[in-house]
Amino acid sequence: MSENEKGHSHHITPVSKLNWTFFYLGCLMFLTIASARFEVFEFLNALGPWGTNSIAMAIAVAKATFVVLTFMGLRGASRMSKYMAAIGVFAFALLGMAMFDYSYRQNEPVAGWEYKGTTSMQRNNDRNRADDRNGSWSRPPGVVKKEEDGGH
Amino acid sequence: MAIQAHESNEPEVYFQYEDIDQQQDTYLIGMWAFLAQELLFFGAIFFIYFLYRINYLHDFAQLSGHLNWQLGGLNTAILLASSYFVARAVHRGQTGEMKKQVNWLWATVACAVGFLVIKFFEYKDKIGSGLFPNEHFAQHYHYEANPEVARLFYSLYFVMTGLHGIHVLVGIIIFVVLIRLIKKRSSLITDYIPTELCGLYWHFVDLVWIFLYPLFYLIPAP
Repeated sequence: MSENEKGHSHHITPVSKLNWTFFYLGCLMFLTIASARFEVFEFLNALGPWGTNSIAMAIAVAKATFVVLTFMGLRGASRMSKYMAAIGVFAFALLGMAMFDYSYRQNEPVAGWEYKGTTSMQRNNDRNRADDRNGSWSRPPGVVKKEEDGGH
Repeated sequence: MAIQAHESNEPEVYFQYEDIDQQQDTYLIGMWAFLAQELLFFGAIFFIYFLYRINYLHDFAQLSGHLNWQLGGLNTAILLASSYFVARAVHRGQTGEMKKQVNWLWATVACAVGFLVIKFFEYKDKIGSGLFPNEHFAQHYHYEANPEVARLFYSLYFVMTGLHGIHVLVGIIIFVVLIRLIKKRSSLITDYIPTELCGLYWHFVDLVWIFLYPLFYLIPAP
């Protein structure tokens, strides 16, 4: 933080830093697009879907860090503002933990309770998996069926 | 560096604050607290998205191919530029150059409007192709991916980008009001803090799009 003659201590981000941040953000944007859509980066496919998705998210996190620290001025903000931002991230992480718990839950087999799928989406998913095994989608009427979809 | 107030209006220090710094910090802390709860608001929907994406990895990748990544990329560039313009506007506000600050703010508004115009054409294209997730969805659906997952994907797409679009719209209104207040030399605008607060909101809107773009438009082929 820089003090001035009036005693104000608010941080002013220099223009050159804003320009460079904008430049870095542009580069990262092109990197995101290139890694996902251009053949030059096809070797990344060897990492599998988790690898390529992680790269896209890592670039997004890098971009977000630039925006938060420089454009939003968190780097030069007061300690209390930094705590507020940290609390937001912490609460977001708590939400993520709830999501992981949810994604690993199993339907418990209880006597007298028959599994039918607990949501319409699960039921549809089970049905489609069964249709997949039989070589046919359960497409609604009017839906064009492609040759390679099945037909055997 | 000095923080110059609006020529005629020196910022008043209210009785509950020790000095102007503490007062300004309080405003900023309040804004950060608001953004923290905005993070939770969007975060919950992002985690719903992740949950389904994990379950339907391949279908989501196929469906991502329907979206126009060039238009999405253009919108990303526009929002990044608008974020930069706001940062410059705040800088001008901090150095007391109100006129130049207003110019940067107008540039931001222009970007925001451009974003919404592109989004409008994207929505028009998707709704015209029968991909709006309503009761007629399946009748028009003729793509590779599972139609049930497609309905889910487009529900998430319209909810998440729609909520983001509403935030962009609110941002435009906020900036236009701010510009009017600055031009009228309103007593509400005594320093750069109102611009900084609006700027923080706008950067958050940009942050949300930074994640929405790769999550919807750039899912790599499995």
